[in-house]
Amino acid sequence: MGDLITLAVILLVTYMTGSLIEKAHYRKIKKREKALIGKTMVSYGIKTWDNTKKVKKIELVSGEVVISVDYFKTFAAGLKNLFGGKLNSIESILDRGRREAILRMREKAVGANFIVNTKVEQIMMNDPSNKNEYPKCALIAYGTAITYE
Amino acid sequence: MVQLLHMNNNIEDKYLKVIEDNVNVSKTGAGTEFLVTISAVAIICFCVFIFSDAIANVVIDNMSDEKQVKIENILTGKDSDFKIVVKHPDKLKYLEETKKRIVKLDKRLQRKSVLKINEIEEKQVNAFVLPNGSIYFTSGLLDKVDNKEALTFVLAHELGHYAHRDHLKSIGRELLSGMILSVISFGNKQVGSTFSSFNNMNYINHSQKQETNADRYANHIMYRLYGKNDGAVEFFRFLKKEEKFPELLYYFSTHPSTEKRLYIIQHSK
Amino acid sequence: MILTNIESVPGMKIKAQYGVVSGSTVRAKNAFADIGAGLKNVVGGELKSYTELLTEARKEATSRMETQAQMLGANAVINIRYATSAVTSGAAEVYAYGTAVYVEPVGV
Repeated sequence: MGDLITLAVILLVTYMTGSLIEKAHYRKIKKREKALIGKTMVSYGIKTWDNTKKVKKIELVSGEVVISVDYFKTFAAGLKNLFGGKLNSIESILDRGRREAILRMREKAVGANFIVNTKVEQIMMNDPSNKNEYPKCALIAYGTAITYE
Repeated sequence: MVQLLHMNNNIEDKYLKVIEDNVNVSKTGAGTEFLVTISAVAIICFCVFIFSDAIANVVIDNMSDEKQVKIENILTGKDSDFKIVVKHPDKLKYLEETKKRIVKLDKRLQRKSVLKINEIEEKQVNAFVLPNGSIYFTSGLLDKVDNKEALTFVLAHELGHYAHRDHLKSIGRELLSGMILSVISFGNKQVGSTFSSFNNMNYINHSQKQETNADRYANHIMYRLYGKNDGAVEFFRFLKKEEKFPELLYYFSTHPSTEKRLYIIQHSK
Repeated sequence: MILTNIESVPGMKIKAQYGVVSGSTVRAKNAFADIGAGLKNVVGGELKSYTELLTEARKEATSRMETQAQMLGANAVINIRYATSAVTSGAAEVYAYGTAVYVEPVGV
């Protein structure tokens, strides 16, 4: 019975800390995204662009993030796995991580007119043989920042 | 060349809406999702428990005595784990005689298995019965309880467990439910630990019912032997003095609280 | 909504672009499908339940991406890429992203 109480306490605490951190993070992400409205970022290449304008600077920019899933969300996702369907708890973690990576990339391209050919890659960083590890995921966003004269 | 101009003026509002709306995250929060899934898991666990209990009851009730005794002997193994002593020979002798009287009253106890009564070296006040029918009293209990009717009640309680085949039913149920749950959880760590917690809770709940039934059985025996249950009442009063658990802890115990047991004994015949 | 994974829409001219839109989802199959897939793994061949899982996840991610594009007033998403990862065992994550654009037929 002690196990159950310990588990419930851990779940409750990690749920509260997790959701507090998540809320704060989302607030930050939204604020930064709003500041970047109007800065162009596209996912396609330069082929459809014309080269009549003089280019001042071309730079490869990237942003990286490694995120991990907290105890509560790992537990909740594991339970939901029994029934299948959407794993809401994990979705927000990956969404946050990806947006953070893209924001870091965009913030590096100071003064650039556009970022083109944006790509997002993700790698699981878990040791596949270790089942007890909490899921963690590395996200990298990269693109070419172009500044016109 | 591609026009990198926006089509209309209120595009900024649209971007704001996309940022705020957050379509990539489901609207149901992680907490709500968790509560829904864990209740579903609890229901599954409860159903599996009820199902295995029903199956175990049917199987054990329809099993021949010889087979039951065979299984009991396999389950028990060797008695050598306990340090058997004879510190209270006259009390043991009395219990042996009373046992014979009780066995005469109940057909379910008249089987090939030997209902041996032993005393073991242990300070704690306790008595228990092994699957093969060996009954153990601790020296602590025999030391402190002098009332012979109270001893009869303890003996009748343990014999009640045996007469109800609680041991066989419990083991059958745990085996079946454990098997079903482990197949469903299929190596999923989180599901496995939740299942075992819920199964444990169901087990405790059920065990309390079995204890109450054994108490009722013992009470009934008391009336048949002596026409009164003073011994039982005295035994529970003694228990109450002995232990100082807070009432709340009994929700997590395999036995109901002494107060509750006393109440049931006083209000049933 | 026109969806392509090339840098333009053939026969159309891009009038305006709205930047990167994305959709993602994490999904899992129920325990029985997991057990079935585990058994099927022994003999090999297609794991139908997991194929289904991936299809569902891709559809969901695509529709979420389309929702974002629609909210911006776009009528096409070009240069779409899919990325997948396995966050927890038995669960699939699909991420779809592309550039939301407004296109018009050539010569109009």
